[in-house]
Amino acid sequence: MKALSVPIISKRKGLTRPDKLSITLALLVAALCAFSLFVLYSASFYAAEKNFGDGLYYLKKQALAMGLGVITAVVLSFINAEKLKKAAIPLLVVSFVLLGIIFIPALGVESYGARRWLNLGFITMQPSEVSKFGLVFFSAFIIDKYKTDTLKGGLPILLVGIAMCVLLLLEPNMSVTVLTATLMMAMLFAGGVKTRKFAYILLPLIAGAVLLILLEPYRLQRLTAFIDPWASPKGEGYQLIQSYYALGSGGWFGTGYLKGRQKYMFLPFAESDFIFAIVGEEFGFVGAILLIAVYMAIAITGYKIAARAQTRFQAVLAYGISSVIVLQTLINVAVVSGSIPPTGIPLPFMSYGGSSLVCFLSSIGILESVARNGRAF
Amino acid sequence: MVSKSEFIKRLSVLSILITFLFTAVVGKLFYVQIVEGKDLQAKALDQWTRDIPYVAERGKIVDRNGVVLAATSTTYTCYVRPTNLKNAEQTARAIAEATAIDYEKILEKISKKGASEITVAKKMTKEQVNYVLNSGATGVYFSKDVSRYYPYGDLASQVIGFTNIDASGQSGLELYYDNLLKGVNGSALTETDIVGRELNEAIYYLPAIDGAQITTTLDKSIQYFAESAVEAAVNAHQAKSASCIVMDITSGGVAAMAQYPSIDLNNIDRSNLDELFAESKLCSVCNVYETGSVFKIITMAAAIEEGLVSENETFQCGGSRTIDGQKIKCWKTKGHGLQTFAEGVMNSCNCVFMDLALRLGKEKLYSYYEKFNLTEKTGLDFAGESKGLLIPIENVKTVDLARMGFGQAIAVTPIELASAVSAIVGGGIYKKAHILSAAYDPSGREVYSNQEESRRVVSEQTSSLVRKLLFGVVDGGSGKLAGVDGYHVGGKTGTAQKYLNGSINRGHYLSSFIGFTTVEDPKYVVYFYVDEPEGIYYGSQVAAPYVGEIFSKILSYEKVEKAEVEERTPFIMPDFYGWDYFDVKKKAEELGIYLEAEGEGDVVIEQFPPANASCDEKCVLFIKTEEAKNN
Repeated sequence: MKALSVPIISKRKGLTRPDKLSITLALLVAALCAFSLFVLYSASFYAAEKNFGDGLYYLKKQALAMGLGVITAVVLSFINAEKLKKAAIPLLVVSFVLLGIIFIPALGVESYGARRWLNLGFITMQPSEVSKFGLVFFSAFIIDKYKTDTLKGGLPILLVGIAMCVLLLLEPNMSVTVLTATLMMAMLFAGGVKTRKFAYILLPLIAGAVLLILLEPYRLQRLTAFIDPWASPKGEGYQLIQSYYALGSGGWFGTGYLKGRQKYMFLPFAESDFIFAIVGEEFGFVGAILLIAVYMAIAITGYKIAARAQTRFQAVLAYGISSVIVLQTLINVAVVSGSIPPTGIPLPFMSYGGSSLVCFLSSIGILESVARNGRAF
Repeated sequence: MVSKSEFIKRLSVLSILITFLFTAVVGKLFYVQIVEGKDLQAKALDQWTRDIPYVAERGKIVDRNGVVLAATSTTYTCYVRPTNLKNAEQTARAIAEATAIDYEKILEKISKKGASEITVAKKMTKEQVNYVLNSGATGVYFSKDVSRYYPYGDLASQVIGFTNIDASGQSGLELYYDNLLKGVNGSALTETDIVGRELNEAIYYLPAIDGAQITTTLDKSIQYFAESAVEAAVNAHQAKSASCIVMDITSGGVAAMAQYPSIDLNNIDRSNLDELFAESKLCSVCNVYETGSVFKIITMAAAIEEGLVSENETFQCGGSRTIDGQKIKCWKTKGHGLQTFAEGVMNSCNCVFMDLALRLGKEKLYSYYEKFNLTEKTGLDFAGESKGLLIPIENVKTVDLARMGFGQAIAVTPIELASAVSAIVGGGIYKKAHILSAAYDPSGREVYSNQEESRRVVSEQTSSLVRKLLFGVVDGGSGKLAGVDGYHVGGKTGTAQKYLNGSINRGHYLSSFIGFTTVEDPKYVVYFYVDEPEGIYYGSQVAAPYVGEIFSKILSYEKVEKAEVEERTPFIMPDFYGWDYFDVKKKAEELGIYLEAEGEGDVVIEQFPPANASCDEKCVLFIKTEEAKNN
């Protein structure tokens, strides 16, 4: 077996011509971004006009963020991904700082009973958008540097992951906690930890989850609302029922673009966490599957880039970034379709939210960089 | 250190795991979107749309000449939805200019945050609404309010009836013809957002179909004549109530049905519903009465039709008949002596009518009751009609039969009696009573038309003879006060003792008069009855004069030609107190007035009209006598 640790540094410097994988990735993401603006326009126009007097309110901000994200992505794609190893520890520190300062009243914004947003004056962002990637970078760094095929070896990842989860739980942000925990496991898995050892992590995690549910009654309510939303159609069940209405109205081929009805303020968060429901309504089951296929394609392309990456760090980095995208998509679609209890998590690239979009586009830039470096391999 | 191959293997494992999970989620999506999709969409449709009702306008009720008796007025309520309000000042100004409500007040009202709808103005006219709509107001909505109103307030109130606040018929014609009057409400289905803001034009619009206009057989003027008469009678005699039916003999249509006390339909007091429904109950249709002597017309017609009596046949009245050992008194206990049949009718002699009933026998008499529809409801188009109350034929004893002859031991509704008398005096044809003649939809198309039902019950000759005999009653008998100068009218008085729980309720009378106009051309039957008058209670005094008034008004209203009138000689009514009955009788004959005497003995103790009243031949003198004290 050829160890990944053997550094194979590209002899070529500077720009290399993009190859099939990087073009595929760029095209997929570009298509997704373009599509996202169309959907966001349809999903948000009415609410934006009523709430802000400007139907393009959300669209403009999202387009701006997209521009910023594309620039960042392009810049990052030209930076040798291997150099980002140096950024792993600082990024982790930044992640924890951001996750920590959210509890400073002047900076943290409370909404819907949770502190998830950070107001930095010029921008509001969710620290978790950064911390997900912080965990990926750190994991790649550790896996690259240390022997991580035992639980002991993976301990740094485990500890960092759990620390993040604790901070996220304090916000509280259940959905990102679940995502972070899942991501942590995916990273440990990539590090080579034996499959059966995961039982040692999974069992305490499940026990912890049960305990958390018992501690906070609202979580139990959400859980029961997910099983039978019709029991409280105006309360806990409302959000899911409205999502069902959107999806159900879509049928096979949807109502047609702009012709959905649920966006007329019936479906809360139609422009953000539940934008997938609008896709399901206006483009139907077929449209929804096609969109999922695009995400799967992005993930598979990302995994292919990981598989042929030049170095172990880059391989794990590409693996982690792809996993963040696909896992978050999976959780979002599972929530919207009522497969798991409702939690608030945006759909990558599609949901309204500047910080999320910039972070995801940046990560694509890094994937492109890995792809380009890997071409020489 | 993880090897590359192990890493790639694990990558594949994760990919497969994720694909598997996505497949599961897609399965759930399929279930929601395809399997349950239609049901969910149907449920969602409910929240996406609002149904705005369009209230149909209730049809008018008009009299036979088209005079509106009940109408619907449409007003609009203006309200503002602040969420849709673009320019509060402009909107407030538009409403202020249209309605003369203070601009500042409106502005303050509609600028309030939080309320989803604010009512700004009520009772707006269509013109005001159009003004507001054309002046650039925003966020303004109107709802239509339909209210019922009655141009003549308390006129025929028990007949017309009233509606509840939702304009649904509660009594009278409003109730009976509710289905014709109410029309069909329409609606508009509008797509809205979550707070009800309309997204576009109505996607589904079903116009309201206004109710039909119903044309009744009532005549506002005749109704008014009857109303004045019943009110006057109640006031003059402190009676519990007075009612009047005017029937159009030629059609069976009810020209008027008056009842006093009445209610003001424009001002219904709904605080006590039991009381309200009691006051609005139409006695002429819903109650049965033992009508007394007016019922003699029925006996008379049956006997004449059967050839059991002739005009000049003589009858002896000694003040009573003894039947099966039971003594049944004539109202005039002194007796009417020997009299012809015609005189017997004039005198309203009970003995004559007992004889007729006995001659007929119960089977024949009952068969006439059936012919005259006294055993069944008339089928009048009115809610709550009652029917005659008769002793079952197998239980009828001879005494009962004799009593029925002069109107006791049988109770009928006034509308039954009026219909029967109409048939008898109107040529012998029975016509079904009705109030509605036709109904027209909003486009003027006839949607209902009364089908006259008629059948012969007595011969033309019988009818003619009854008219002649009844003319005699008014011309020179107890019905004198119902007479109208220059016309030949006929009729019969009635004074019945009321029953309470099966026994005579002493001092409580139903005083009535039923008459027709004219003898030559019978057109109207008027049945007038006063329930429980105080003081004098003879139908001749309490009811007949009012019928005379009604006749007189109808005849001049219908411009019926008047014959020459002989001058009457006025005189001052002597004081008969202490006089002997026979002296009074002689004096009355001398003066040419009709005398009604009541009581045992021969000494006059009471009289009406009182002494010194100015009178003429058109006068019915009532005296009460008793045994001389020194006897």
